[in-house]
Amino acid sequence: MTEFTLPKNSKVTKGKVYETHTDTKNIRTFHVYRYDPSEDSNPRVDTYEISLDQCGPMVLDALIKIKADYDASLAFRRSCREGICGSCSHNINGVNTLACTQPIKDIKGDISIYPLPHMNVVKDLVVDLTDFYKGYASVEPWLKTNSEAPEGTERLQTKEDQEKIDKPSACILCACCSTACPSYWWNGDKYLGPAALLASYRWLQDSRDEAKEERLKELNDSSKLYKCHTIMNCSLACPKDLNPGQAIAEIKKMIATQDLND
Amino acid sequence: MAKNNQPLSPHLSVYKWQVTNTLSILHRFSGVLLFLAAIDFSIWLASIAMGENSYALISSVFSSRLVLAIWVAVSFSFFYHSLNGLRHLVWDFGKGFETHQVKYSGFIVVVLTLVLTSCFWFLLLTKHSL
Repeated sequence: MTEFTLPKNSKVTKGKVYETHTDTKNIRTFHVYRYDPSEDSNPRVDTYEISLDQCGPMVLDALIKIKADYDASLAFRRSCREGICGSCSHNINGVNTLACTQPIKDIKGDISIYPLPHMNVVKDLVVDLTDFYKGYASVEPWLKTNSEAPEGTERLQTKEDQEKIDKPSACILCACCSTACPSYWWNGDKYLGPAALLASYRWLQDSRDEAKEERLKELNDSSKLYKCHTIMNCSLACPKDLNPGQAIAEIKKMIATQDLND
Repeated sequence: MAKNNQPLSPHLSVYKWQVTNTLSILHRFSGVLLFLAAIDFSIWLASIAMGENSYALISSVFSSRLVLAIWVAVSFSFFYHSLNGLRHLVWDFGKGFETHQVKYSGFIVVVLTLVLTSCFWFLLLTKHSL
C-alpha cells in the first residue's frame, strides 16, 4: 500500500558521534543507519569521522574500517569486494549502488549510508530479502524444455542468440533496481519488480527455452508486470549498467504482439 | 518469516530525486489536474446551456486572477501530459531506453512544455483582452 511516511517504530533518530583522533586534515564524515533488534528502540543514524589516509578507496572500505576501528557491532553484507556478488548494495548518498564499486572520492561532502529503501531491516544495514527472492523464484529462472534432449551434446545456440542473453544474464541480484522503484515500494507484495522481470526476460529471450508462451501467460497480470509505469529509476540505479526498464518494456511488447489464447 | 517488529527502511525521505521519478510523478499530477479541469470545463459548458446570467457569473469567476493562475497550471499540465505521453508511446515501441536517452527526452519534454505554455499565454493575453 502507498504510505509516504515511515511507521512509528521506523522513524530514524539521532545517534552517537564517533570522532577521529588522528591529526590529518583528510577527514570524511560518514552517517550510517543503525538498528539493533535486541534493543527496544528506533533506528538511529550514527556519525563517524574517518581519516581517508588510513582507509581504502571505496565506500565498502569505510564500512569495514568502521567495523574494525569504531564499532564492531555494525552489521552489513559484503563478500567479493569487486562488484560481482551483489551483497553490499546500499543506499549511498540517496542512490542505490554497491558499496564496493562506489569510490569515496566521487562523492562530495558527507556520505550517508542507508539500507536498501522500503525493506524490513534485520539489523543495521542488513535488510530482509525473503520477498525479493520469492519474486525471483516465481519467474522460474531456469531452462524449461519439452523436446527430447539432443544425444551426446548440449542444447546448442548460435553466437547471436547467446549475445541476446549476455546482458540480462549479468544480473547479480543485488536488488538495487527493485528497491529504487517507487512502484515496488508501494506494491512490493504484488508487483514482481525490475530484478525479477529482468530475470524473466533473460529466459524469454533464450533461444533454447521452450516455455515462452507459458511464461508470458503467467506475467500477463495487472500487478505482476503492469505495475511498472516506466519510471526508469531501476535502470539508472543498476550498478552493472543493465537495463531492467527496457527488458520490462520488451516483455510488454511480447505480450502485446503475441496471440495469447487462454 | 517472523517480522519481530522490524523497522521499515527509509525510502522517499532518503532517495535522491532522480530526473526519472520526478518527471513520472509530474505526469501523474498533471493527469489528475487535467481530470479536475475537465470537470471545471463541463461546469463552464453547463453554464452556457443554462443561459446568459449563469454564463456571466461562471465566466467572471473563471477569469479572476486566482483562477487564472490555476488555468496556467492546467495549460502546463496539458502540454506536459501530452508531450510526456508521446515519450511513453516511444517507450512502448521499445525505443529510447538508454539511460542518457531517457534523461535527454525528459529534458526536451520539459523545455517544450515551458515554451508551449509561454507561447499559449502570450498569444492569449496579447490577442485577446481578458
